[in-house]
Amino acid sequence: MKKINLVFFILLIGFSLVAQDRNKVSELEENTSEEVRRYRELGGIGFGLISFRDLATSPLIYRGPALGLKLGKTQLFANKEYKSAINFSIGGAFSSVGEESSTGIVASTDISYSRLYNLKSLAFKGWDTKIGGAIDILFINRFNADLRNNSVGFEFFPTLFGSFKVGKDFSRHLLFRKKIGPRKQHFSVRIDVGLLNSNFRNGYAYTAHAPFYNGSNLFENHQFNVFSGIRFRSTIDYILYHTNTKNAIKISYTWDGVRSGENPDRFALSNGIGAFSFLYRLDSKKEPLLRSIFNRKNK
Amino acid sequence: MKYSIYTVIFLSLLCFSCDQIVFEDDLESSNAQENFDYLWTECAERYTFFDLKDIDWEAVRVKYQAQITEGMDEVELFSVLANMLNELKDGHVNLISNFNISFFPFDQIGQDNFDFRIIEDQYLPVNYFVSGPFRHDFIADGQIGYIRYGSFTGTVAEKNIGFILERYKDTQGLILDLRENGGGAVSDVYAILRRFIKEETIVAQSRIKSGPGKNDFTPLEDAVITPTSGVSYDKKVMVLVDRGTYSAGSFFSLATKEIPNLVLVGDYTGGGLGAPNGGELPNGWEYRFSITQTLDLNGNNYENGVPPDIEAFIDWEDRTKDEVIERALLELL
Repeated sequence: MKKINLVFFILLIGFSLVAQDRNKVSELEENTSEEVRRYRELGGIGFGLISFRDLATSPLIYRGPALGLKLGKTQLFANKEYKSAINFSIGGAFSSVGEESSTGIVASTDISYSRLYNLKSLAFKGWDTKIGGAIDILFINRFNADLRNNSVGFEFFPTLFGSFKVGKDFSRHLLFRKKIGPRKQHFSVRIDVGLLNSNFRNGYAYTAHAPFYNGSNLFENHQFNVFSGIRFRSTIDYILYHTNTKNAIKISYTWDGVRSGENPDRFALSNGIGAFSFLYRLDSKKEPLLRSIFNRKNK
Repeated sequence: MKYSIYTVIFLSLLCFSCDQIVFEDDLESSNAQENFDYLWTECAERYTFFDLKDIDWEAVRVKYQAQITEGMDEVELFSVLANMLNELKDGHVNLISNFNISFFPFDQIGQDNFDFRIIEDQYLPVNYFVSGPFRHDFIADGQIGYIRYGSFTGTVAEKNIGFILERYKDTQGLILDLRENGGGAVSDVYAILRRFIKEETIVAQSRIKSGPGKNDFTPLEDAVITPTSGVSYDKKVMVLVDRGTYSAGSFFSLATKEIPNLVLVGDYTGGGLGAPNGGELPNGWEYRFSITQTLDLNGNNYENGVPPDIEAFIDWEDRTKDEVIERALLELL
């Protein structure tokens, strides 16, 4: 296990060094880039469907509605983009077999940082293509009273993603607002595939042992498993820019699926959230958000 | 243009179609054989007392497999699975459905040894005190404090146990009655026992299953109790137990063996020193069974019952006295 941890850290450090190196090159390129935009994703809120199954406690898949909240910061350059984000979702999930039913609550918090770089050789018909990676930790809490001493579950999944994104800027009149002229819009699809998947989750017996012998370490029997499981995330974004402020609204759908390895027991979760967010341009040379709203009301 | 549209549509579809990859097969099933196999295997790999109880689980499989038939209804299936689980002779083992809950009657192994009505009629004043989960008052002409604790509710706190021990600080001794206490929150065991020790005390050892083999366990962990900084009591305490004293009650009883001023009086406890888990079957029924072992400091496993230091039994022919309390009073006065 120690060897695996060592490999994990070497890969992690290697990745961050490469990322920093790329950053230096990009900073030089930034000086010649036409546009640098920074956006803070404020108060993104959405709804969707969350599903999970933990074979350590049940063979049943729990499914139910989920509420999603998003916060993040995106830096867009002509040739690259950086994004840091926190996505939180909570859902009530149900399983039902015949007359038997059970309810669980599952909450996930996903913290990620990614860098994508333009790949001109793959650009086609006005679509730009970016590749890169992301470091991500997904924390999952679960509660299901029917499972008695196993009613509470906690695990987290650190993942090193390989990322691919295609996107296109276009300018078009909005369907019912043709009088106000064409608006700049952006559509993109992004795929993140877990390259280095790991997880920290309950041990073989699953039940927390410490309370029985007056111990304090509730995670004593948790295990850290490296090179274990799969993770896959896909995101569709549609962004509509404000003509004057360059602030924007974003409608997105993110599907995030994670599965641990079989040792000791497989855990799987998928989380699909459609969300509406406001993107506030941090370095806008135009009017800031509040002033633009104020000015518009006065006109 | 077509190329770009198809590519984007393909990538978009990926966003909606990956649940199958993550979850693989749906294991939900009402099939009797599948549920039988699932439950038998879960027990085989995780239950902790096969050796101690000399149970041949493979033989149990053969015995109950013969009772699984294709057209059996859910009540029949429940009966087969419940009977199979009761071969474990463990009060921490249950099968739970909407229409029935199976259980092993651990408290019926020995004789009934408790009736609170006798204590109310013959020993306690009419308006005895109730402090949180404790019912208590002076008995034996004010020389002894009697405390009835019927369940480990997880609500033991300074405001109740502190009040009680302060009230009885001038008595010659205490009787703590745990008979027919079926257990509950282990945290209460530590919250109470820390009132009766003067120094940090190791009272038991515990381990949990770490693999599918019968003897795959984590290393033993010491169960350590630290003395309270609040009100304590250092005179003799007679702890009354019977076959209905189970789970956390048995753990409390085991711990008294390491605390000199605590004496166990009555019958063997019901056992239940293995903490249970919780899980579901493919048909949605729930189950639980023991997945830990608790041993004394000499490595003895009292899963089948902690022995009393002094045996005492109620004579049901005479309802004017509780012989177990009388035996405790004999020690204290």
